[in-house]
Amino acid sequence: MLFNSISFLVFLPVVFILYWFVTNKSLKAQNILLLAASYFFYACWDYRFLFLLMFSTLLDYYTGLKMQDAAGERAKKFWFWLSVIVNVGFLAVFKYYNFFAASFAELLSHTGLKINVWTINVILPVGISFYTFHGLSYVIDIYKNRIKPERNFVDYAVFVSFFPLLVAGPIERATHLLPQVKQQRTFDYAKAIDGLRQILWGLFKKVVIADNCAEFANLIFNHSGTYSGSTLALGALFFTFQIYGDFSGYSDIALGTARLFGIELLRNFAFPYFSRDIAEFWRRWHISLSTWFRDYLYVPLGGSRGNTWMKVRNTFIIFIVSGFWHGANWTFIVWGALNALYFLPVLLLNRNRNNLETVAAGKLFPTVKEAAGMLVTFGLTVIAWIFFRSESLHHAVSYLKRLFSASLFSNPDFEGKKMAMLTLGLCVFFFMIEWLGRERQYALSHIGEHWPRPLRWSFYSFLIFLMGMYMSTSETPFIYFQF
Amino acid sequence: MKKFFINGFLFLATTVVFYTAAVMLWGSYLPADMKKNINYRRGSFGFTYTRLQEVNQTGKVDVLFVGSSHAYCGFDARIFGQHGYTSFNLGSSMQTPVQSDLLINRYLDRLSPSVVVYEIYPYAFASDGVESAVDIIANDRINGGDVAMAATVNSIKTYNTLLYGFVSRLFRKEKPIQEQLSITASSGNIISHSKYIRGGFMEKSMELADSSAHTGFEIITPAVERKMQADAAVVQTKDGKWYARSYQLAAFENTLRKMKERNIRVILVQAPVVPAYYALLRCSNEINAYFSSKAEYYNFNEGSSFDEKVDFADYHHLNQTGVTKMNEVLIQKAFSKK
Repeated sequence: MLFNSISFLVFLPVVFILYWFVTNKSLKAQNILLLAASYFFYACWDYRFLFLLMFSTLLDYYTGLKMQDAAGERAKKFWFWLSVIVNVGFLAVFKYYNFFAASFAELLSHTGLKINVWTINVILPVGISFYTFHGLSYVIDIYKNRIKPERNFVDYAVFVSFFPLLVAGPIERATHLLPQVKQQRTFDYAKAIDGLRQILWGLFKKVVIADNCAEFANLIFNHSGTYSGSTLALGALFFTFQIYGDFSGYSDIALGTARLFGIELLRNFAFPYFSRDIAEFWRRWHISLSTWFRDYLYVPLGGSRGNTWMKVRNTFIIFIVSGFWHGANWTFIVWGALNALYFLPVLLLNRNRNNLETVAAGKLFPTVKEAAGMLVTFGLTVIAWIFFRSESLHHAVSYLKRLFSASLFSNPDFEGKKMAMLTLGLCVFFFMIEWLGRERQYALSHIGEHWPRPLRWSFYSFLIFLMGMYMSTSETPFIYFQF
Repeated sequence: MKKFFINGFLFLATTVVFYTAAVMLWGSYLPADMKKNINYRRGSFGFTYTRLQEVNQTGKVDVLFVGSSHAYCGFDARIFGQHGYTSFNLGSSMQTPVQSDLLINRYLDRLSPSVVVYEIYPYAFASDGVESAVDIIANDRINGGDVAMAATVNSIKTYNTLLYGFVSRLFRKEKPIQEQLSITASSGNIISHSKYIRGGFMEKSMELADSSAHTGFEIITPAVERKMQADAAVVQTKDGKWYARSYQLAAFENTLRKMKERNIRVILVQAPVVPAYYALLRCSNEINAYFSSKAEYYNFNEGSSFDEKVDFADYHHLNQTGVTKMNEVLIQKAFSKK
């Protein structure tokens, strides 16, 4: 079930009404309802993989308890590694097996050896990377004695499977979400309205910005060999807007939906395209994943402690693993490595903690230095996205070669140019709103805050109208569902 | 909670009013390229407006044609007339079974045909039907059938166009328009003429701009080859299986059921396309097996001799030479049995 589908438009109000009108007297009943709704939501994709989700949940729940009750360090370690190996094993089989097998065969073929690798024809279970990371953070936190295991299975299962975050995050932490699951929740009018507003903004990002940009990004990337450099530059720009609109739109809908049920999820995006350097960008892009890797990989590796070599090594590891997390393709690995390269200068010059506050806070316009920083960071990001979007490394390299050819200075020429220009106009409108609201949780929370209600509602209605007028005629899945 | 629901309801009401007003403004004043999800074009391509005006003045006929542009460009009422059959052609641009079903429901009583010739274009069965739905909404009367069709097609473009058409007719008296009934267009060395003929048919004739080097009409260019491949990919899956939308098949079978109930003979016809395109369809056997199991079926791509350079206006439409050839064969094969 997609957030931007008719079925979700029915599903959400039904669960909302049951939650606040039927089960509101009992926290236990509310959590059972959330769990049942979440499993139904997931089963709408493929009920068979529901068993995998249930198994993973049961495993982490059980190993968490066993670690707590373990007689000694050895037993605790056993249960910990059992959980890690099984979780990572599922991820490896479903997501990475074919990649490793094919890469191994290709490597051997370079040495003259030819082998027929056994590949498996398997569908990637939706959200596996997300719920696996939920479970892993939980068992790691128990192992490190940061938290006590949850004894109530339903509460734990809601933490792993809560439907707004189940398929594409944000990647939650037990320390943040579990206490909310266990706490009595009361309906809060202001929070519910704020949730709806964030859903509206998320939908706008997805159906107006991302889906329209996707049409041109797909057209240009799929036929990149036939277009000029200037057209390819536009294609990369369209994808840059698409991926932000798509993923941050999803996150906004997830956060808004959770807020309707009285639950606050971790923030996932904080206006990353207004970053002044690459370190700031990574503090603002997919925050729940970046902080996950920071806490469970970067810090255990030594973080930024140690000598320069160690810092560089750890930076490359975290970016490459992060790239690989996105998918089993060399393009993601190179995308991660490229970002590590971007990161190196700020790390080595010790400027990675320079821009911690919002750009031009309290002002309408940035300074020239800030604008230049944003422009350079944005440009670097656009180039990196080319690797992320390309089908293969060869595709990405030929795309870049063609982009940086003399034809970069020609007029872009492709089918549907007028609609593309209109889409760029919508993007300008979108980024204006984002800029004006950049000091808030999400852009729309600020716009119209002090306007009279008719004007504010008219503005929201206008956004809904733009969705109706410019949305894609078919339901398009979110990019991050494939991860 | 009460406040939440009251305000929610008021907001919804505001949005409905705002949305309708904005659709009317957008639909009326923006150029076609700028309004992605409204397409309310009266008198649009394919003479649908004139055809549907004419059908409302037409009485009983012997033969009714339905289907896509292959129907209104392929079945010539004049040729059937020469053989003693009165007919009307209700084909329309990219018409899919959902729209055929709607038009048959709407005009069957008026036309009361004894034979329905149902043109089968596999692409139409794979299509979402949006293009034809908005064409019919803009050019015919709007009633509950259009709402049902919009719900079946379930596309925001159809809903917006329906809303625009409905409000437009409610508050603004739409004046009748006069379509240009003869259109000339040129592509490369080929000049083509499209002319509306009474009875719903569109005649396509062609000539060469430079006739000194007449070697026939070269309609297969590299761009057309790419288009043929893209079309074929819509009709079949990667492993060569026929793809048809379930709601299109349901509408098609619904029409057949109604015809059977009313004792109306149905003839299914697959009009010829250029051999190079037909060869791309690996699912032809599957398609033929399905349609021949449903009704009397003629596939003019099998065992017929249509010449790419003589009989076609483009890769999937006949010109008048090809139309005459197909109609004569169809009358001989299907109507001599009568």
